Amino acid sequence: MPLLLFALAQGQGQFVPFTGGSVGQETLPATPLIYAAYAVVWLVLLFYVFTLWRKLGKVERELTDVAARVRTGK
Amino acid sequence: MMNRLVPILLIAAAVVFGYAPFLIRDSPAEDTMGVVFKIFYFHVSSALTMMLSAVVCAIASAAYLRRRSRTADHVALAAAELAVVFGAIVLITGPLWARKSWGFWWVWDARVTSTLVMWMMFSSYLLLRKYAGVGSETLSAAVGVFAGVMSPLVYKSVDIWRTQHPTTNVLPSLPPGMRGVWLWCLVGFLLLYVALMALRTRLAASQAALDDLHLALED
Amino acid sequence: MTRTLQAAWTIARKDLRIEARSRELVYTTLFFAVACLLVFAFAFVRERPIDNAAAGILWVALAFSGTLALGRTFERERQGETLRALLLAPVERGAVYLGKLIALLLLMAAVEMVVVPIVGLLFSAPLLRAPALLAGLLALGTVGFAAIGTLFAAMLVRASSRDVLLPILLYPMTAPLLIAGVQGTAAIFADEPNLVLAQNWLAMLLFFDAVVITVALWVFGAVMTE
Repeated sequence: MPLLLFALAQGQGQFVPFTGGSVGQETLPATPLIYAAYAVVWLVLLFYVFTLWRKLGKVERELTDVAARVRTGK
Repeated sequence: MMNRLVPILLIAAAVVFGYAPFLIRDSPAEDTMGVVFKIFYFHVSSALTMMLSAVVCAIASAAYLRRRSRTADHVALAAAELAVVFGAIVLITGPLWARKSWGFWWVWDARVTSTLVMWMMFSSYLLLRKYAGVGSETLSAAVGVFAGVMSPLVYKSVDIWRTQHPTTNVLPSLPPGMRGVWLWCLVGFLLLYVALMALRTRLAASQAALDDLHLALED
Repeated sequence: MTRTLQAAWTIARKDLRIEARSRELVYTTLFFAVACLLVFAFAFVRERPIDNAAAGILWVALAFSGTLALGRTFERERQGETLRALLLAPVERGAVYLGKLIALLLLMAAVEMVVVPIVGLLFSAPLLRAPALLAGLLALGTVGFAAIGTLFAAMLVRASSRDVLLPILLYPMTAPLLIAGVQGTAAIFADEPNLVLAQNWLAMLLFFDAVVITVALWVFGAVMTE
């Protein structure tokens, strides 16, 4: 470590191994991220449509039930 | 009429969405950002849909305040909920894109910040609706109107604030090869939006009718 | 128009008279603001306060204490059921709104006259660098914040969960005002001050206030019809 510091203080006199930095971004694979993003969109939308459909069915069934009860009650 | 239209809209949306991945896969990679740019097609379409829903909510809320129309109230509620749903999609896909192309998850620029603030405004609309008790329709209508009015002001103020500092993100203008793909995805989102609005409004109306019937039964 | 303003002033005077007797709101809001400043000191002071933290600290403390003051002025109305009485009075709806707004603004002015010097003291902020500009930013920012706040607090008077719903609604909605206030103040306090920028933010605040008050007056009238 002290040797490295010494070398840095001197400027590049010899080969200094590369230690990452901003180039590390390129090693982040892009394709999984895209699949993840699209998966999120699909899942959210499908989940929402599904819950909406179920809730609608439930409320409409209850609506016909209660409406029938009101009619027979009258 | 709407009831018959909804399944047609949903099927059309499904077709558009179903074909989209192939179009997106075959679309050209963008120059500076590469493949990760392809999130753009759904990300921007979601953002535009969210803003459309925000406008619908604001107008419906104003209509409700003026005429106390129950339909206006149902539409406003549906629009607020969809603004939150599509806003959530934008706010999740955005950081996934940003992390790859700029190296960090979040940036406080005008577009991102105002999207977040808008999402919070409409979420507060829903919270108000759910927890404020009696009379929450009128209260949330006031929030809807204000959300519509304040949103452009939020964008403007953040824009001026953040242009004092250099930003690293520049949304590239769309090269012609990609425009067709983007329009295809946008159409899919809009079809889905109309279908969802119809369904959600109908749910709100049915729920209200059910509550009325329950009250009538109690008498 | 003048009748409305006169009615508004009468309503405001009622609140001020009540307040003058007990001074409850002023003292407690003030001490709450100072307590906030204490917490911010724990958060933002290293060997010295973080660079230019004073502007943000000031505005957040005012936003928090303003929200609290809003809740408690309308809590008074709720307990006495006086809001309904006010709305039944033969005055324009707008007069009720403006009256409550004026009373709140005077309360906040009293709070700010103490809090601002304390912030200058605790966080080394150059208050006297552009006092008129600073006062203008504070005044206009407070007006806008209070304008939205008065509307929402009045709306929530009979709602459940109103304590937490008020800040949930208020903070996103007042974002432009807070941004303008903080940025304008920060431009004055910065090591290299930019007074022209601060003046621009002042102008923006004026525009925001005009929009907010106009919309709030209309919405108040439309909401409070029951």
